[in-house]
Amino acid sequence: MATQDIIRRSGTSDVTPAAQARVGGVKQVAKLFDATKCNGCKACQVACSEWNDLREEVGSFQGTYQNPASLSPECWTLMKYNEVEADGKLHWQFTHSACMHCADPGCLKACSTAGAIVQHANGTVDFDSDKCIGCGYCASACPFDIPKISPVDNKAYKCTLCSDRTAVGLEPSCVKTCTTGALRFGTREDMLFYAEKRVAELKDRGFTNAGIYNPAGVGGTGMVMILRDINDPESYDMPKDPQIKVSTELWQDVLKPLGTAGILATAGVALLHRITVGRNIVEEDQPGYRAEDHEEDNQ
Amino acid sequence: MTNHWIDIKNSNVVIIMGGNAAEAHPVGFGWVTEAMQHNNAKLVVVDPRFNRSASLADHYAPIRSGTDIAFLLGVIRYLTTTDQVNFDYVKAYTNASYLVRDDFDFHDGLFSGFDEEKGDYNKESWFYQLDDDGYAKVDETLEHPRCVWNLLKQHVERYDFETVSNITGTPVADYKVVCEMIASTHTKDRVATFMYALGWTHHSKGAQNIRTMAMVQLILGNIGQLGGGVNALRGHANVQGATDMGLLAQSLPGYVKLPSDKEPTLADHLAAHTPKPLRPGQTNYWQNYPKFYVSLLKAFWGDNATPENDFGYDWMPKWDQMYDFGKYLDMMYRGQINGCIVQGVNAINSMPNRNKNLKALSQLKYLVVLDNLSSETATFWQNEPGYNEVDTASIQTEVFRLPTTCFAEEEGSIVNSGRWMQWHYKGANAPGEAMADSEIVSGILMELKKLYAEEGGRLPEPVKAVNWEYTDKHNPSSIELTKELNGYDVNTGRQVSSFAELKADGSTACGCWLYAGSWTEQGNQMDRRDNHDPSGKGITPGWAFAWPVNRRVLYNRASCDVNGKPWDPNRTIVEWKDGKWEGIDVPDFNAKLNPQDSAHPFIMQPEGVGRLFALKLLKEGPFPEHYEPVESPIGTNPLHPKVVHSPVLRWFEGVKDTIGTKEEFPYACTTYSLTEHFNFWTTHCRLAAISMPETFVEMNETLAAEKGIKNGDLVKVSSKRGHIFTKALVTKRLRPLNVNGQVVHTLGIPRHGSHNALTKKAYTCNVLTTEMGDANTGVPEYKAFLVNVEKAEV
Amino acid sequence: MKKQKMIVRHKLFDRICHWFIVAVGLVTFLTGFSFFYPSFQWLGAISGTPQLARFVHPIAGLMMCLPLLLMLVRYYSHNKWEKTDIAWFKSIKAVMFEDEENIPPVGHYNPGQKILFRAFVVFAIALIVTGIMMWQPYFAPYFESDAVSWAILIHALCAVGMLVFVIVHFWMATWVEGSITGMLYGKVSLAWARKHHPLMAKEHEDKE
Repeated sequence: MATQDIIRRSGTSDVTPAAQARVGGVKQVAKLFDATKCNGCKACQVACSEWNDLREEVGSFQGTYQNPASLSPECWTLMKYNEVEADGKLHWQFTHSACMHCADPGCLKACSTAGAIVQHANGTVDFDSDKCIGCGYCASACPFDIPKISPVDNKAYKCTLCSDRTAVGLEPSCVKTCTTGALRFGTREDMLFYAEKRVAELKDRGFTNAGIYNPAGVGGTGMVMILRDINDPESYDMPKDPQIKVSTELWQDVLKPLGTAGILATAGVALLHRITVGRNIVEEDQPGYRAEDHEEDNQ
Repeated sequence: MTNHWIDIKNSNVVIIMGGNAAEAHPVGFGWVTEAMQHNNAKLVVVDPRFNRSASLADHYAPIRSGTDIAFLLGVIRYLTTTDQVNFDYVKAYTNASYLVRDDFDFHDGLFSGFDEEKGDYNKESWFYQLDDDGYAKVDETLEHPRCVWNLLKQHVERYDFETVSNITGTPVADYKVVCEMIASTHTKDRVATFMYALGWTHHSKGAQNIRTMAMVQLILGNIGQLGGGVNALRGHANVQGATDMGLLAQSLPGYVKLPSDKEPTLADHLAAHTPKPLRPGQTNYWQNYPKFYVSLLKAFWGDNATPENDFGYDWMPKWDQMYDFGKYLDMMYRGQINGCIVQGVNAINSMPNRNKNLKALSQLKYLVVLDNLSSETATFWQNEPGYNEVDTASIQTEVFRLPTTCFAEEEGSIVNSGRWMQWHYKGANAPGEAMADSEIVSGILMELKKLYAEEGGRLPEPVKAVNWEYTDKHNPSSIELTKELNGYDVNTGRQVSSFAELKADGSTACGCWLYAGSWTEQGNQMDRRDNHDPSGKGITPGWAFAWPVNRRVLYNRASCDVNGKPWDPNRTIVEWKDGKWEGIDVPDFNAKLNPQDSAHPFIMQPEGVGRLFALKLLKEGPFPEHYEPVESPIGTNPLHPKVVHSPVLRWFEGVKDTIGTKEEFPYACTTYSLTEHFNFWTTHCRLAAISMPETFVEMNETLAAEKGIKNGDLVKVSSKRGHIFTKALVTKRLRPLNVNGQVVHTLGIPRHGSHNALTKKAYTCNVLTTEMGDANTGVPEYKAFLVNVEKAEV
Repeated sequence: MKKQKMIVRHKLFDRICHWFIVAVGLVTFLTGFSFFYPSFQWLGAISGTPQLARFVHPIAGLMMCLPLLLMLVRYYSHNKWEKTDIAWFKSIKAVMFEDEENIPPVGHYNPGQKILFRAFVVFAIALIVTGIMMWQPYFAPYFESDAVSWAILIHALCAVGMLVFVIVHFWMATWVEGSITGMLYGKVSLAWARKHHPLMAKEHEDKE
């Protein structure tokens, strides 16, 4: 039975969209990461692995508190650590790094397989591993470099926003476990309302550049962040103005239609040529051809 | 904690110093962010490293490890010279106005009464002037030159900004900001809390570190208040419970004393520890000491404890000196100990000076290790090149490994930092042959009893007399044990409802008087789970049980003035209203008394007030004084070069030779825990191992550049006691400090090295640390010692 | 009937290469199509499942391109630009409408075929390079995701371009009858050569 809460499917033409009945009816959700309240404890990271049964290899020290070194098929949430000097002070900034659940997801746009990436009515972007063929288009198209392809089973993996939990009214496991209230979960509307209030508080506390990271370039995100300095998201390892990549757009929006047209046109011209000009034969080689006949003609 | 975790949300200024709450207590730290967001609180972090707590601080000030006393005495000087003092509080609720004996003195780093030969004080002069009734003399105007207040002002006079900065390395500008933020809470409507942990205890003057902070809190009027107090953050889930149950070498459950050999009879002991009031009309709660003590003896010996035999007092061991683990290890090292039972600690990786400990354990005839994991202690005899180099063949120690349950595999109570006794149920059965510690220890006792009965032996009486009336003598249940701790009437078997019911005549038995009320006739009070908070101030009387008597904020009489009016109406805990006391918490005083008669909030003191002058209770002196760590990176004490470090330290034979100098080992080093790990336990936990797979040494960029060390390089860190190889983490979070005309670099090493776990094989930092420790407690100076560092050839 | 005089146009090795390329190329293009047009994922069913299609595609692609490059090396000498080539282009209309009198004589390959040759060189190399860059899970992780993203675009662009040229190739081969038998059996008639590649025929006759 179809859940009917999938409002967008990868690899599907706009002419034949996914079920739209619940668009607008189901409220969009968001996870809010308040970097100004995060103490970098990694509880979210561990809770993610615990709930989703992920076990990355035990690595080794790489010169940073950040472990494992990057997101991976076995690590869907990763705390990142950055030492930043700004306004004459040292800041040790922590980033809760996981899928941003873009309203306009580059991964979904790039996906090669019908329905392998879907967007739920609540805005969550989810991967269907049974359908995934492991082409990696999502991994390269993501403006946040989130999805990772497993070398073991060749499938793409990333944070699902605990869609199995949210489907039954629970918050994602990372939010559940956050020690300082830096992570919250609710409707996008509520989270943005709260975030605005929080930013106002921060400004009162002297964080004059505090702001909400909810990049418009990808239509807004299902993970909204509150950053100390919204003008410098790069210091949190977040892109300043993330957008669906030009390469992805050229590929899906320009090359596909033009290429299709080109292929069809070439085939069409060939067919037309064949019909109009006809066969190109070497007469001498035709059965029944006699050179003498032609020699007479020539005389 | 005098207060509790949730109460931190009521603070206006949170000072994290001598601890790293965000790192080591991330869940509790949530109340700090709560205070910051909803109470507009400011967070100040003072630490040698810019740590996880500092990452969220409004202000971070670096400090050289081991100079906290100088830092805080400077704060006191700032408060007193700028009159940012809650004078009403100081006058009424501290001993500021008490007159000190004329022969008390302080000169060149030493208090009066120092005996150079013994390295100890004759503390005679460290006391009040008494009147003819034996009461302390006071001058409420604070004008008398011998009053504590003036002596204190005189004592801290030396700690001006420049001097403090010169000792601590904290830049004056940073220091001023911290002083101002702390001082802002001297007003009646603002309160500060200090959160500390092992960052203060792990010093050769740990007790004085904490005491200095307590003095700051008294001067600001912050103790007994919502959002204030003196808040020790306990690391292990039940270290508070362990401490309550007599963790310290000279304590028994409930902080009553293990008798010394100078107290041959019960009467001697009770006389020595039952104080007389030092002011008229005092509650002087320790006057009940005999009730608690006799009830404890009744719990120990049961019907065998009678008035005729001093309730079995003779069977109690009597100490001649402090037998803490440092002393025991030294005795093992000298071959004076046959056997050792290690329970609840990975000793070989935890105790300072690992190389000495390896030799110490090798001298034992037998070692019993009770642990739920395969710890390095149980395998100390296995050679592990680099990490644990021993000559296995030469070690004759027989090791018994007894697997235990972990907390989730048994039911019982855990006491959190806020003194809440919270009952929990068994979550899973223990694997294999693991048994609860209580079952193992009972089994040993039963076997001992049998052996004594069959074969006889020396000193059979205590083993015979011990009260062990449990349903299954081999396996007492948590419920039985807890009910015994609560206490009961020995005639009726009725559970007491509070320690006020305990008697000194042997009619009550109580395993820990502070826990009385936790399991009453009404049942188990610790598994109550009503989180209703009627006042909105985080006081939830229906949630679990807080010792003592379900009181959530200690000394809460100090939340209001002498007339019973709250200093700040928004922080009302108790209040005198219409001729009676009302409030949201259990009063920490006799609520039948009127405000004036009950205006001595520190009821455990015979004078009822907080002590700015500590009398004879601490070995270093009645006022704190800055002493350098045993291993000082500046090699001198700028205040008094003749007395560099604490003069009353305990020096075991030969230890002087293990102390490094700054010439040989020029860098300061400190050790600490990481959020990702809990001691060594979680190095066996895959998810924790993934999140922090290996230890490292943190160092600042300047030092790294000088030494040609790049981030991630393998380095050799050495102290006078040994060396380790580990990888470098070069960071901006540590910085060189200017101290006494030189630059001090500090290195930091996490303490989670294991060579026998899921994490990458690593050296442990206790190879480097010194066994020298606090003279009062024996806690080693893990947080400040000297090392050298160099890039290692790979 | 006089027996036709036949001359060798394609050696056995080259013919095997060619038809091998055709076979794996079919797999490569069908599977590639299944990724390019998700709605037509069934095209990839030639290799079983979509997952197998993705597994097979890069291998088939390499199996297509490497012999292709080998062939291209072997045919390089026939595909050098010559001065007369420009004249041939100018008379492209005559070529397309079989107005043979007005077509300047060409050798082994006409300039149109040389363009095809060059296109195949460029596409094959580009497809190999970009294909390796996007090859999951073996090589792609070594490249920045932006680089991979551009590789995917270029890969698709080249594949489309190559397909267009393949169509042209197929079109010409079926139009100019005798070409396919030439590639199948290696020989073309001298008459065919005189008609379509007179200089090649002349060269052959000179040799004799």
